[in-house]
Amino acid sequence: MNYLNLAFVGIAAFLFVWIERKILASSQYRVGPPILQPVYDLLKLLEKETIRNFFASPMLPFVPFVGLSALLVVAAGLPFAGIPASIDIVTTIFLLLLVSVAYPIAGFLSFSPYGYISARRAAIQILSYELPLTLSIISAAIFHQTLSFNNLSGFSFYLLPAMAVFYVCALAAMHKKPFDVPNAVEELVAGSETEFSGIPLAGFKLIEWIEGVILAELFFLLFIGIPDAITHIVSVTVIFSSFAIVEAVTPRLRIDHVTDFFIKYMVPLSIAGVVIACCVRF
Amino acid sequence: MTFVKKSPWIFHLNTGSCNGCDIEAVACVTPGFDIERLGAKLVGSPRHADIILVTGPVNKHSLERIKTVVEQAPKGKVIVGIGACTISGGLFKDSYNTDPPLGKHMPVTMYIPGCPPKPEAIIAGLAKALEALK
Repeated sequence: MNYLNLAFVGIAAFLFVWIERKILASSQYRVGPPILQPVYDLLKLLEKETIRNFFASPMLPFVPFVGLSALLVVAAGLPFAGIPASIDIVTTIFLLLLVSVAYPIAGFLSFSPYGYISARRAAIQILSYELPLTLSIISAAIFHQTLSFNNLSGFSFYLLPAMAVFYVCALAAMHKKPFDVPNAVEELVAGSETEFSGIPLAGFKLIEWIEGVILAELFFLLFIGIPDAITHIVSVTVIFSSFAIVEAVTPRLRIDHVTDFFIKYMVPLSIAGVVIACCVRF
Repeated sequence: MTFVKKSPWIFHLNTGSCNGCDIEAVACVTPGFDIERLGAKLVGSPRHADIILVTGPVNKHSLERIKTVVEQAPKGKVIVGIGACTISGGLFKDSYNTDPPLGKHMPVTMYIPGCPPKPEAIIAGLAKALEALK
């Protein structure tokens, strides 16, 4: 267990979502919310009524917490400032997949047409980005000759294709702007979260916020990887802010364009990344 | 301490309005006024709503839908009627297919008069409606 990283992720989740909303607001010449706004939102959701859907499964309110617990395990396992990692790369891939899958499962179970459409799109999107995401992580693992987060040895130009693929796939995993097809607010009300209120909705919000920090942290560890607290915090903040800037300046793709993009460009690029890593090492 | 006052999420419901009040209500989230400063944001689902902004004369065709949508919101909701139409029917007074006022069908916390009310008036009304939230 790495309590320091868990604390970092817990604080950063609230701070970063504020930074993101502030960046979005300033890109639209608005002022934006106060710094404690995410905390207020979460506390408000915790004290709201949790509506039980009469037709849906009684297990439905627990779905977001499966994903949330997987995320917290990843957060507690990643290395931070010289403290060694307690989980390896393969476990991280599996746990992040569990987080991604919680979203479509909630949509399919929630007995809402919006949730159903959103869940279908989310499932298609997972099938599109999961292969290049995994291949980009694997190429980093091949290049550094390790499956542990402790022996990753920093930045290399040979990993640039894998870096680019991981960045784009992280945007898709977080449902950020060019790939926010599953929770397209203007079309799908609130996506898979439409039927959720109160504490389960707070769970979904926490997943959304923490996943951004974890993916930015993974990007840092796999491709930059300097074991120093200040560098770690600054880099993760910069990476997350760049996600927010991408969110502010891009429009939304259609789901078939998302699939096309990942199958046509990202999969070959990620395979190229693996081949380059193999050529360098073997 | 209740946190609803710090983050009121607004659901906007059109009941057959002429779109004037809707434009003014949506103007509240634009750069000139920016109610996100107060923590408010527009949400798409009534399940997430704390404040329900209703515009328009209560159209008989949409009356059942209005009631369903309002029932779907969780407890502690505040219903705010915007514009002259929700109060008296306004432009659509004595029309055969409207049934104002809104307060006849559901408990309305506050009306914001005007045809349409200015965004400043809507924000002032929301600030007062937040006092009623608990």
